[in-house]
Amino acid sequence: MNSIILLSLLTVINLFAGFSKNKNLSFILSFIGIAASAILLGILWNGNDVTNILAPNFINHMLSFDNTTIVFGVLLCVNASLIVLLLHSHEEPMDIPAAEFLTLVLTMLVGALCMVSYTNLTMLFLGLEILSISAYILAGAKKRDYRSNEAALKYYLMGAFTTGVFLFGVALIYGATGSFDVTEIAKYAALPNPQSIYYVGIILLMIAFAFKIAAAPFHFWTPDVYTGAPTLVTALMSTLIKTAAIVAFYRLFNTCFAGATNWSMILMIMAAITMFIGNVTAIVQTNVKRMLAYSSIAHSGYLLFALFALGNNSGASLLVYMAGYTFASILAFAGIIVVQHNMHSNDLNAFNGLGKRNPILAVCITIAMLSLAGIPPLAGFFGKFYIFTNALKADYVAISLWAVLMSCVGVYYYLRIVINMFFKSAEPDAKEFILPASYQIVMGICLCLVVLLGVAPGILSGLI
Amino acid sequence: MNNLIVLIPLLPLLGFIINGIGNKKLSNGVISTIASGAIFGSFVISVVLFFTLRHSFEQAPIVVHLFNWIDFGNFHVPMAFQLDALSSLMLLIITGVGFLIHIFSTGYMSHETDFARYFAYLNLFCFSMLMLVLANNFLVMFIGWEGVGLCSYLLIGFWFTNKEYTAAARKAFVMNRIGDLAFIGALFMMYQNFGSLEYEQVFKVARTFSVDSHTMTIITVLLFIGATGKSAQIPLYTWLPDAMAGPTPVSALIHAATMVTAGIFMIVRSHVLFNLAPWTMDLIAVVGVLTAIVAAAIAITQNDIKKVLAYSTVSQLGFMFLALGLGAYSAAMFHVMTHAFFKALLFLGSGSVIHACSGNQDIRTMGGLKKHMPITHATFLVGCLAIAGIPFFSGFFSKDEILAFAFDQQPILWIVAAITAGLTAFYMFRLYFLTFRGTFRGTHEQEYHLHESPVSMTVPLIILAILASLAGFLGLPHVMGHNILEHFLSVNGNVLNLSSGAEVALMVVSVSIATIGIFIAYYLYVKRSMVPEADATPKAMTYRWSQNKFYVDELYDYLILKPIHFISKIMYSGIELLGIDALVNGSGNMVTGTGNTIKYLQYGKTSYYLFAMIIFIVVILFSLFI
Amino acid sequence: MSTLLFYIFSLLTIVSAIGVVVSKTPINSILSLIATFFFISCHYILLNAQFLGIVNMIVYAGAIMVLFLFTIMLLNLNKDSEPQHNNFVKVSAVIASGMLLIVLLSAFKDTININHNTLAVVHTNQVGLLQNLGTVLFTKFLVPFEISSVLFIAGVVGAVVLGKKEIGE
Repeated sequence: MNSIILLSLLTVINLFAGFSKNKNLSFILSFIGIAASAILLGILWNGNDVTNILAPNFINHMLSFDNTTIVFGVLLCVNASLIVLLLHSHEEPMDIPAAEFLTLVLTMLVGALCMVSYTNLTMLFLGLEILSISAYILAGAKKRDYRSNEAALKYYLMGAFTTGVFLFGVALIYGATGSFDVTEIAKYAALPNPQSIYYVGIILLMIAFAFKIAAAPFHFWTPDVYTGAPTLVTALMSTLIKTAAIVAFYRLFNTCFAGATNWSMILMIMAAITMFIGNVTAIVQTNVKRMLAYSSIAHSGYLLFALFALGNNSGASLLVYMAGYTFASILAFAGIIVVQHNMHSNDLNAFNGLGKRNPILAVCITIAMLSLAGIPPLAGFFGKFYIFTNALKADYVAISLWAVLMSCVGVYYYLRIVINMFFKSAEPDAKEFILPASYQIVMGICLCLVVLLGVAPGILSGLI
Repeated sequence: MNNLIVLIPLLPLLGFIINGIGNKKLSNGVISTIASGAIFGSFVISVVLFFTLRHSFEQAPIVVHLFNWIDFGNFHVPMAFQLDALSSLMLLIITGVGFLIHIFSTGYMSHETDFARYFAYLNLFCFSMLMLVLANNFLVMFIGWEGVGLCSYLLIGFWFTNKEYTAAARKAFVMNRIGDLAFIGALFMMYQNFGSLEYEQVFKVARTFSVDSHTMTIITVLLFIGATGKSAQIPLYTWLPDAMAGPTPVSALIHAATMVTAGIFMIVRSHVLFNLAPWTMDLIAVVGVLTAIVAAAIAITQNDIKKVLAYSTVSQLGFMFLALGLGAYSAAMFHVMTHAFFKALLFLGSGSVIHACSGNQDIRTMGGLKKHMPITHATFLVGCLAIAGIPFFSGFFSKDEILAFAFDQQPILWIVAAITAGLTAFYMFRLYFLTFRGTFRGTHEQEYHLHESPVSMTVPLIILAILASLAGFLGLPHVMGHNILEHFLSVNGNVLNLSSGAEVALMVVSVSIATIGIFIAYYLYVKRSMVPEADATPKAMTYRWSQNKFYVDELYDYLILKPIHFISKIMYSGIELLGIDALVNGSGNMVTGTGNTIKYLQYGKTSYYLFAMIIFIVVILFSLFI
Repeated sequence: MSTLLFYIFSLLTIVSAIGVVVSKTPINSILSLIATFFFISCHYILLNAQFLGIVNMIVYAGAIMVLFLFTIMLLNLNKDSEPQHNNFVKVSAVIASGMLLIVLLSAFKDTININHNTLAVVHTNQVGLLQNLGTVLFTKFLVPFEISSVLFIAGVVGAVVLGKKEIGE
């Protein structure tokens, strides 16, 4: 809770910091604030809540900080701070001032933290809305770029529609159970004959979450929005929002609806379609950003495995998967921003000959791609490994085979970039790109983490 | 205090990273300081830990748990280090000998352009070896196991522009991989049967198995095959002599003192399993003694100074395996230790000789080096005396202990081993006399260049010579006193049941065999000043067989490589091109086609997207009520 | 009495909602929408949620609708800019909404024999009073109430940064 309060206050303070002559002030504030909130989360480890300044029972009915929450919360903080660092170098110029951009990142983080810690559907709704509204605005952060405008508007319209669906679902569940509290709902779920509106409510919530994590057939916004939005925001959307949404999804279905089985079949079919559409469509893309958008869709399909094959290890496997995915994605998007800045293009051909020109950058992107493809010994492999092992243990054999097949398809398009970088020659007058310091730092951190989590995934999976 | 263990492998790893990244930017002095400093740090820590903790080893091994490496479902593998008598002994050998070899390398490799790469590899090798030794479960050991395999590939092929050298590196790697495959199989079997890969757990469960059960036999045989790969035993020994393609200090470090002992270490480490599989033990003893005599027989006729030493290494490793097979684990470790000293000494000595002869390795064109390189000569002689088993040099004690065990359990093994010992004395002194005695047989220009090596090379030689002559007193036979090493290691193996008289008699026999070997060498190569003839001259069949290494390489070539080439050709033209390629390309085209089709789902209009979403919501809700 | 009123208001709400969709001119749509909001407010009051009913009226029927009217007048919509719909879309829309109707009907069907003890709404005329609402907001729902301010900050910041004219434009 303290971390949420701190970040909320910081959003306002940050706006004032924008008036300062010192352009770095808001960056420093945001960065320190995010780090401090990560620490504030961390000290709650094992229910060690000694610093609560508010009367606890108001909070405990709304938010709870167990170890799962804390680990994911810290992951979100790290994620946000990496994005803040990337913003600092102005490699990708935005049309809105940095202080405002950072404020929106902070509000987004507040929303995300609410979504991983809620115990009441009102908090979940508020978190989701804070996250989404910040995201709509950030998607339009390049005001003078009509594609960015288009992305923001599309995202907003479809998101608003989904909010309606979500609220309708919440209303139906409230109607059936008489409570917003997840423990109360879980009690109702354990009763023998739940009403039909309760099921309809669950399905509607599920659809809303599927939209947020970009699972088919509710993924239509993803390619357009991811491609149109500023690349940094795309990175934010495909990592932070996805983490928050999948964790909220997992928390709700793990605590409340684990008993009801009829949704797991629907989720399984959704996962199958998602993996198919994501991977197969990604193959024919020539724009790298769009390709990663489809890859992001495909990853949602794998993430759904943790939900329909709920088990004791689901949380741990989600954590390993999301951590690996997050760091590899940020690494890849950072690389794309650099290429975009220097070549003014996101096309696959813009990567030609990068291996000769900027070997270190090319190796970073390669590692990111290999991790996303799930090649051992990188983090992505263990994420997939955990998720598939879980599903196999729960006897989901056919879908696991399908997933493995789709992963193989995935390898094809991930390696296309690598081939372009190392085996195609660039235009002769191409110069070496200069990586700003913050990019070097972020990419270094992500690279280390991707390799480290691949070598020793036990560090994470042992936590929860 | 215990956490210092972590630093032991970490320092060489840091050295590797620094030298690896700073490749072109650092000066040679900095590079060698970092590399040697790292390994020296590990050595100091190993010594400190040894002296502070050696008494606590008797109760329980010290385990330092770093983090959970793999932690999923029932499969837990911690990244943890274990320090006990066995690993601390190995630590001292690896870091101690390793440090001396680093120092030697700074002199030997000083003319090398790729200085940083060499030292980075060397540090990486030490790191892997230390991981192997310090592991507290088989999977971490396997990292080190693979690591040393990789490093030996990199170092053998260090001069990668030479095609022959890269072929040797590849050969070493492939041979090692065959062994590794068996090792992996053993890991799977262990996890299947014991439910864990941690030593303590594995051994605890293993003790509940009956002696000679099939499971035990299969696991131990697989482990043994793994060990034959790393430790160059029949049938996987042919890589080791070829591995002499690498720089000489590398041969000293990897192919004499450390890496090849990995297999022996692994077997001693898992001796609980081997004690339960007598059949495997017999197999090990037979393979060991066969390797010993075959390699010795080949060494007699080799004319390359490093080849002789390489085959002698294989032969000595055979001795160690003989000891393992006889259940004489501490004797095997004793020989590992003394062998590490005198073989490192001999290899470094040969390096010094090669350095002086500007790269020439053929002993037929050497001779009379005694007066040009007095220190090298003296230390080399100590090494020869040690390996030949002359009393009170280290090799005497360790080899004698093995011979005593052999005599005690199976006299036939003893006879073969004793003959091998005689051959050893003969070929070592043949090498010595041809190299250092007589007159120089090379060109005048070469003679002009002869010089004693720099201090950085002679000092390690002197230290190693001291160790090679004195280390034997750690494991005195029962008639002479107390076997400190055996007591320290306290590995649960077979015990020697010989009377004092028999022990003394055995010593006398083996010393006289060795002396005979030396005398024959002296007679042939000093008295009659015989020099081996050029390769082309006709020779007796047995001589030819020995010189051509019993045609084992050719045999492997004919039996394995040729058929594989043949099959792969058929596979390529028939199955690969017509079947798999068509299938792969077909499915690739199919997927791309599908992608191109469903791409059009992405229509671009928001109203269309919303409409599609509503349709799908309705479909999902509808499916709920059907 | 209240049952009768409920049916009357429900009918009026649906009729005016249909009016929003079918009316040809935007102004008529807006006016129908205002009517819809009015009748929904009546429903609130029937449910004893007096405060919500009034707020709904003020905010939606008042402020937001005025905004809508202004926007439509400023944009000067005419027939040409009306989106085109083909028959396929119309047919599938009818089928989809028909199916949705069936699903929701079947879902709500068994709320008829609902256990009244678990019903969420408590039928006292006190529940919707400002005082009670305030008490709940500042005790049980304090955290969401405070957190919603972050939502507004995000909204305000967004409106400003996206709407502001840059210097030189």
